[in-house]
Amino acid sequence: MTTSSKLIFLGLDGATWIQLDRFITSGKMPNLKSIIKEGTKGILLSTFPFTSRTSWLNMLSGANPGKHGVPHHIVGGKHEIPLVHNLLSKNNIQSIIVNHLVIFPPEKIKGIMITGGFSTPPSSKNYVFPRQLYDEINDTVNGYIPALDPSIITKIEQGEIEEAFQQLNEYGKKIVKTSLYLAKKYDWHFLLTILENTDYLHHFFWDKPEYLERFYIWLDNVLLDFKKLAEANNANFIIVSDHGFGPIKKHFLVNSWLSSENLTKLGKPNQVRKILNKLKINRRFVRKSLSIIGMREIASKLTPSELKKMVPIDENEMGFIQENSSVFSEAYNEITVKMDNPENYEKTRNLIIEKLLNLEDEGTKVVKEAQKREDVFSGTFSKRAYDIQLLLNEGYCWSPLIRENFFLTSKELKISRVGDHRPEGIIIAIGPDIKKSHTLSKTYFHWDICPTILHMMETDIPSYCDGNLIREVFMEQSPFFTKPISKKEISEKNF
Amino acid sequence: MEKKSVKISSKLYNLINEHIQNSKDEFNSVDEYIEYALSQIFDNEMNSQYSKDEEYEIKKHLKDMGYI
Repeated sequence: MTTSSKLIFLGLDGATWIQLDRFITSGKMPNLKSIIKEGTKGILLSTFPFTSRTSWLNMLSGANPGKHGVPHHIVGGKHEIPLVHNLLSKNNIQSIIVNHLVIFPPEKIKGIMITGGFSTPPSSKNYVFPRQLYDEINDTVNGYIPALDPSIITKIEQGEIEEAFQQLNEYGKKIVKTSLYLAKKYDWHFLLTILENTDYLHHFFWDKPEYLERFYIWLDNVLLDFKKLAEANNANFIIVSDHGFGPIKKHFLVNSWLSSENLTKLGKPNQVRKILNKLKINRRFVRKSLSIIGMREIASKLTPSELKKMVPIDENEMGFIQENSSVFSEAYNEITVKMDNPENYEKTRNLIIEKLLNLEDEGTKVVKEAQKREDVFSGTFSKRAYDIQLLLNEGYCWSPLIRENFFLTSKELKISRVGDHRPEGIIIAIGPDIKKSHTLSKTYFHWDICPTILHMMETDIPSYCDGNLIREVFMEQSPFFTKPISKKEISEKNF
Repeated sequence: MEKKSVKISSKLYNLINEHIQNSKDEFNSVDEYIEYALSQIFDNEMNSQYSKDEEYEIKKHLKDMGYI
C-alpha cells in the first residue's frame, strides 16, 4: 500500500442543486449548509445519453463511453477498462464499496464489494465479495436489500404513495447502515457508497414536496454521519451525482414522431390486436392479472412469443416497431439507424438530426442537441453506441411509446414519472485537503473524477483517461495541490 | 498469431465480401471480419452476466423506469 490518504466518496444518483439549494435555503439541511461552508462545491456535468449506467462508468473509469465500452443504459454491458477500485486494488489499496450500481456480479478486489441497484437482480444472493460476509451484512441490517423490488412502481401507480416512500427509505437506510458498519469494523482507504433512492425520488416524487422534504431531512442526517466518519479518520469526503434532474412537462414519443415524418414505418395492429386494445387487454394488464394469481413467471415461460406479440404493448398503442425497421428509438435519448449503404445511412442521419433540431411544440424547441455517435464518443467501442444521441430541452422526456400524438403529458400517458434526468449534477467536497468556502471556477465533467481520486490515492492515472485532475478543489497547503500528476502510459486497447 | 482454417459456404463468403466492399467498416478481408464477429459472439457467451430470469428482472426494471 502506497498511500496514507483516506477518501470517503458518496454517490447520490440524480442529485441536483435545484432541490439541495431549496432545502438549504428553507433551513431543512443545516448539515449540508455547514459542509458547503467548510468545503468546496460545484457542478459536475453528465454526457450523452445522460443515464446512470454510462455516467457512473464515465466517472469511475475516467473515460468516455467509447473507451469504457458501455454507451447505453440497456441490459448488460461490462466495462472494458479498469474502474477506480480495480486500479486501487492493483496498487494494494483497500476499498469498501457499498451498492456499486454498474457492476454485477461483484468483482474480486482488495477489500469488500457489494453490488446493487439497477444492475443487480432483486432476487440475487450473489452480490457480496467476499461471499463469507453475506450473512454478517444481512444480520447487521436485518435483511439487506440489494435492489429495489419493482413493485414500488406499481404501488406509486396505484396511489400507495406512503408505502412506496417507506420502501424507498428502507432501501437507502440499509445501504447507509451497512456502509457505516463496514467502515467502522474493517480497514479501508477508499470508501465508496452510492444511494439510488435520490433517483427514484426525483422520478416519482418531484411533484410531492412533503415527501421531498422528509427525504432531504433524512439525507442531511446521513451527510452528518459520513462527515463524522471522515473526521474520525482524517479523511477527505466527496459527494457527487451522476446527473441532475428536472420536472417533466411533456413526453416526446420519438417513434411516433419518426413515423409522422415518414422516417420509419411502424407496424399497424392487426384485427386481434385492435379488439384486445378495445377490450383494454394489453401486456400491462395481462402481466398485472397474472401477477395477482401468481402465474406470471410460468405463463411468461410457457407462452409462445408469436402469441405474446398479438397482445398490444400498452393501452392506446397505435403501432409497434417492426423487426425489419431501419429507423427506430428503443433506448433512452437514442435513435437507431440501420442501413448497409453508407450514403443512405449518412443522408438519413443528417435528415433526422436536421428535423429534430427544428422540431417545435407550441413554439418551444424540443431538442437541445442531436449528435452523431462519432461526434460525441471516441475510442475502440464507439460503434456500440446508438447512431444518433439526443439531449432534449428542459421539460421534455424521451419516450418509446407509440400514440397518435407525439407530445403527451404524464397524465395523458397514464404514467407516474414526473421527473427526468438533466445534465447538471453536483459535486461537494470537504476535508483536510479541501479548499474552504470555495465554488469551483468552472464546470467539470464526470470523467474528471477518476483522475482526481487516483491522484488523492497516490495511484498512477492511466494515459487513456479523458478526464483531468480537479486541482482547484485542494487548498494550496495540501500536498495534492502541488504534487505533479503521475501518469501511466497505457492504451484502453490493452485490456 | 497462429491461424487455423475453417470452412464456410461460398454463398456466405460472397455476401460478407460484398458487405466489406460496400461498407466503410475497417475490415480488410473476410477472414478479419469473421474473426471479429466470432470473437464478439464468444465473448458475449462467456461473459454472460445474468441468468434468463435475472435478465428478465433487469429488463422489466428498465422498462418500468422508462429507459427502454
